[in-house]
Amino acid sequence: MQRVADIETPRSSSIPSDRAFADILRPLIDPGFRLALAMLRDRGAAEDAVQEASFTAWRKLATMRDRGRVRPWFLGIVANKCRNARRGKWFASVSLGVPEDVAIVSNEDESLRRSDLRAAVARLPHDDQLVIVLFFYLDLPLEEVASVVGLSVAATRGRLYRSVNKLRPGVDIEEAIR
Amino acid sequence: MSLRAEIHNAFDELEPSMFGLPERVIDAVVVDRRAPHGRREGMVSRLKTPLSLVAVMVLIALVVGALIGGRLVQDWNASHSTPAGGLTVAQQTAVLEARPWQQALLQPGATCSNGPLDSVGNHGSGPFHGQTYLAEGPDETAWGAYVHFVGATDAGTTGLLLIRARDLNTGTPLVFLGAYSSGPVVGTDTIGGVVSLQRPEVVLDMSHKPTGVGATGANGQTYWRYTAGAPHAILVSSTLWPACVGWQIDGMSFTETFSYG
Repeated sequence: MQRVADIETPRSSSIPSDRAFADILRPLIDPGFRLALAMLRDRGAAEDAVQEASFTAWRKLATMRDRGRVRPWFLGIVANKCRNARRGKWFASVSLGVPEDVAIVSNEDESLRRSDLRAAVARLPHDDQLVIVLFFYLDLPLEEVASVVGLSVAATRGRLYRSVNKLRPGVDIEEAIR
Repeated sequence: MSLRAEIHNAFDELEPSMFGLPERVIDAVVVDRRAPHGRREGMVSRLKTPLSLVAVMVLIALVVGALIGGRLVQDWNASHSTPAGGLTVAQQTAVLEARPWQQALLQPGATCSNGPLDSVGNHGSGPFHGQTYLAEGPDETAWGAYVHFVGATDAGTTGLLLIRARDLNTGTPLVFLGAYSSGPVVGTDTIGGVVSLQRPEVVLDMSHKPTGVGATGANGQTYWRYTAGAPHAILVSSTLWPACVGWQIDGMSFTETFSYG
């Protein structure tokens, strides 16, 4: 799977045609889906979030000033869709997607630790989850994480510190975010 | 191990393979982008490439699904055992999707049988019982209309239930919205300003039942809410619903059918 940080986004200032929009959108689906799956832990809900984000992106792309920032812009839309999905009353009570208890073939302790870590991330507030997933799972640089969450780099760094501290109290922050 | 590596391992374990998601998303967006603005010139030529890709992917999926489904059914029959315990949700779904549709189209002039009904007047003899949810809808759009339903599953029902529905006058499949809708996106519609994805079936997972107020009823039944939609072409204008809809509910050990007129 291509890593998010390796993906180059097209740069263009013109209003895109269907084909051009598809070319812009295609490399964003993978990081968008991974972000949504990590935030929602439900394949169907993650697909819906990416689909709805894509509709929104299409409608608002023409108003976007800096086409070179399309990736954080799109991931920000996905994050908002995830926030809305988590507020939905049906999502709150229903999960049909990825099971939390993944089949364990061997190395049970490791699998349980991974499951515990996912559960610990899921217990964080939305904004804390978001910076953790963007920075540690999607490997976005701090500047791009800041762009997605709409904060300054300094404020984003502070939020990341606090989020890591909630996730792993007492951990060496500088070591953790290296 | 660093925290970054731990988080990668934790979420990579979810195996987020996309199964053609980019093309499905892009195709749906292109279709939706054209619907409200009415710009249809050049539509066929511009959609030809993505639609052909989708068609090839669907064809491959159907062939693989038929092969896998056929093999699973064969194994199940050979072993005389319940396969649900050994199959993933996706494999169980593939088995159920391979079940043939059982209700014939109505002959011209024939009346809809509207049943069978259970002891309290709901459609279906069990383990699934369907009823309309009258507190909401129907919702009419430029595409068609949507009716909200509540399905009840009897206590003791296990595994997956696959729900499909067709207009019994024309054979047109109905579409489904909501948390339990499943299968590939077959269209989109805007309902109350919200874009909704239309899917061809509903999958109820008895191991992930809804919880909370109103989720369970008498005799341990579980209530599931879902929404079905039909295009204008098959609607009766006075009811915003087709004249006769056939429903088929497939579980691993049964197939239940009823019609709703």
